[in-house]
Amino acid sequence: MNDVKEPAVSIKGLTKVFPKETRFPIMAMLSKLEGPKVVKGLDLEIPTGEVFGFLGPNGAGKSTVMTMIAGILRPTKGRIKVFGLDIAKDGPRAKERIGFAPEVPALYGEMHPVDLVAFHGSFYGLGSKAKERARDVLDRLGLTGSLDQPVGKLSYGNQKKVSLAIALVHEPDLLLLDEPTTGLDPGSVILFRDIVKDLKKKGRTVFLSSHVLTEVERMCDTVGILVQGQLKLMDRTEKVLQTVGPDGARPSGLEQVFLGLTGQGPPEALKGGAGHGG
Amino acid sequence: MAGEMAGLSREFKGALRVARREMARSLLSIRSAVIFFLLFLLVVGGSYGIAEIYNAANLQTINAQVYRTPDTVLFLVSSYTALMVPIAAVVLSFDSLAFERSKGTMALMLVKPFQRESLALGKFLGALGAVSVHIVISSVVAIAVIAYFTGSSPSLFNSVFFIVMTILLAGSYIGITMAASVKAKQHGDAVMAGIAAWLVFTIFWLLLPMGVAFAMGWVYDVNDPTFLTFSNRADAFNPNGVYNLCLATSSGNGFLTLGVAPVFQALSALLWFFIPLVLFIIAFGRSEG
Repeated sequence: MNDVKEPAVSIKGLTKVFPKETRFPIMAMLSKLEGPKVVKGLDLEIPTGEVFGFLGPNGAGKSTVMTMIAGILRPTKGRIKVFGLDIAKDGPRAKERIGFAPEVPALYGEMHPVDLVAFHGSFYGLGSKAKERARDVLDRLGLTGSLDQPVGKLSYGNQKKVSLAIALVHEPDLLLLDEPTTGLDPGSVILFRDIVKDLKKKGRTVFLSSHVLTEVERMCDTVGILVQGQLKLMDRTEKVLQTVGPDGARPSGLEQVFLGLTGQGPPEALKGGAGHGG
Repeated sequence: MAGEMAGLSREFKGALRVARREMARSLLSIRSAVIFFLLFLLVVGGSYGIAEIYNAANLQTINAQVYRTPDTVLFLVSSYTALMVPIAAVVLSFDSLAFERSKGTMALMLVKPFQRESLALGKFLGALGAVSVHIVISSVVAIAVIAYFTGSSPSLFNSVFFIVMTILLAGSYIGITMAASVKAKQHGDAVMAGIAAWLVFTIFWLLLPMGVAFAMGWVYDVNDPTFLTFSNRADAFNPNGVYNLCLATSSGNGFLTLGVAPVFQALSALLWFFIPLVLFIIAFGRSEG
């Protein structure tokens, strides 16, 4: 199923401008005015089989980029290809190979986990195997004991796992995970890390955004840092950690690189003295 | 060619999956139970009332031509369905998109391997399916009541035609409501669009022929051919009106449809079903979801 010749994700000149928000909804409906430019001419290429960590401060545009790759939002300008398939022209075929888990679990609360995951799986031609596959994925995520209650009654962490199960049920070649470990307990984070390792072994591509930089450092082959809709850095994780700063010092972790690039950290972090990532 | 067929099959299957889920969500809601109760009460109660009028010989003089057959009794029941079915359609469809948006589940539906248009079609079919269940149950009971109280049943053709036309009427309002809800930022905006359509077509439209008759100096009388022709032609531009015209023709009361040939009635009914649906699908296909 994997096409090794084509990159998993190829983005050229991606720009997203949202409509202008107005005080009155009727004005928003009628207005063609442009709002903020969230993504500004982004170029990005993720080779197949990589685990890619997409970093950036809040509001940098990470989720917007991920939802555009998933075909949920439409780019204002630019082109996105998934395994060589243009998401705008060949959306359904590209989407067959994508699994997506949003930052906040978006679930039909009245459905039971197996039914919900199977419902989502049924769109990928799983047919009569959808329920069996749903059970397997939920079992792998450690949700076996919570299958008899509606999804809406589950804890946030377990809802997050159900959301992950929905993304995994059809065994996608490209997994887009927006803040996958937020709200998970330490045991579940370890389990999640194992799942990502397993997916990598199978040659799948994982594109994840996270604020837990130690996790990204541990799991990701490549990292990209997005700041105000523009890619400030994109390189192999080990290379990023080897980069020598202007003061001749190497960063003590990804956290320090991130803070330096985004200008968010305390001064000592920027100087390279107080980093503790990793 | 095979690829195109596979693509079409995938789109259609996707739309049907969405429709099944949407229909179940609608039917299991509390508002569905309330709407069913009201529709049932009005349609079945109305059929009993009109059947009783049919039986009362002294009341046949109201319009000797009209209260003639069980088919006509069923036709007259359409005045109740034309009142209640649009409301049922609006109530069961207005939040179909807003619900997904507010829950965030729209994103997970848009990532599925089919076109946005198929998702829109699925949403429409789901809401139509839910309203159709209400319509079929209420209509079948109404037909049974007519048969019991008049001593003979409306013809099978007219019974089926009545149900099909009522479902088409519901489809018009679902299409209008859903097309409005694509742009609506809040649940209330979508329900307002549906209610506004209902008010325009059910209440204000009645005033149109009266106003024109007054302006033109015509006699305001439903038996006056000039007035009736104009009134019927105006009705062809109204989903409720065309519903009434079609049922009048099928029930053998074609004289009531003066000025609008059956072929135009059928055409208008189909256009009223498909135009809002197509507008909704196009609007949703172009939207961000």
